[in-house]
Amino acid sequence: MAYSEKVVDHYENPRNVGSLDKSSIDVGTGIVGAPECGDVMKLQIKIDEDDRIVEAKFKTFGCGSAIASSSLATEWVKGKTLDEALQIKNTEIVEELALPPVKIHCSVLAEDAVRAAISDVKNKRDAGASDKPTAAEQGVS
Amino acid sequence: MPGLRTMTLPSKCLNCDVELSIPIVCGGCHTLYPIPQTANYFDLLGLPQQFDLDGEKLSDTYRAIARNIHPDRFAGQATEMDLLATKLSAQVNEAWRVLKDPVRRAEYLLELANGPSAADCREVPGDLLARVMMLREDLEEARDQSDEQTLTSLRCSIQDERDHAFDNIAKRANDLSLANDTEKKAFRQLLNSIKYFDSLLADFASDPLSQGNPQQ
Repeated sequence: MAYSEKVVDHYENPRNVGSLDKSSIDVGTGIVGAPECGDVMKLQIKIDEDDRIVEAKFKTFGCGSAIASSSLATEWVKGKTLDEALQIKNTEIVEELALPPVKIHCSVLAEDAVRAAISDVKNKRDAGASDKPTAAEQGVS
Repeated sequence: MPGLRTMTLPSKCLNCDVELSIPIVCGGCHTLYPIPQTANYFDLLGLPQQFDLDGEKLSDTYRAIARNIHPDRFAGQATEMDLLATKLSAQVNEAWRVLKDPVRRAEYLLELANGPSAADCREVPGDLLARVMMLREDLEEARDQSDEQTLTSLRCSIQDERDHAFDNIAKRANDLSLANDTEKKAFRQLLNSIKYFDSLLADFASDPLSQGNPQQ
């Protein structure tokens, strides 16, 4: 199967590869996977006090389409607020990268990772704002 | 269900009256029978519907059936027999492919018990995904540093964790027909976890360093 030029570009020059401090209160981490192929994807976001995403990093162990989808997702979420980032749809990723039908699940994975990261940082912030002991408990679990 | 099955599966050969040990072919005169709608892969091979199967017996059974229904045996005979032999052979091969592999067999038993498919439930037990991600990162680092010792120990611990998950599957797989929805979901999560471990182990297999084979 031939990859589109954009997939190859993201695969060869992935944007924002790396990790953020997952214990930090302003960092949200989403780890998702595809049991069909064993791919795993970690996407992290860092927010400022206005809920705007100032940094995004990813690490994906999987096929070229999964790497490209998560690389693109980190580019897209940067500068967006959490609510804006939630609007990103996997279909937009499919369109941008010209993913074939068999690779649509890779874009779904990237969308899920963004959502998981957003939900993680929201939980952290809510817990931290209302009740410190709860935040500590959540950190343990 | 069992009642329905005995009604639709022939028990004796209609041609020579010999008792049929499997529902699709007569061991005596090699008359072929179309597969009843209700027959599952275990029925096709004349095996009990359970997880614990004697691997050798399974192979012997499959080979004997495959020989008896091989399309070559029916070439030149009435066209419908020829076609039936081809169709049956394909089904028997598929049954064999699924049942000979313990993980696929467990997955198939879950399907027969109306448990969730991988598409229905993509979850894994506990924080396994975070664990898999950590293993992937450690693996990548050890590779970058050509650290063979760490690679070997990583491979061993992944294999151990895979074995542990498989033991849990083996313990529960015979009782799936009695399991409730929560138990079936937990079983699917275990099956999913095996996929992640196997993908990690396959990565080792394709890695020249951990194989000690610079040719690959």
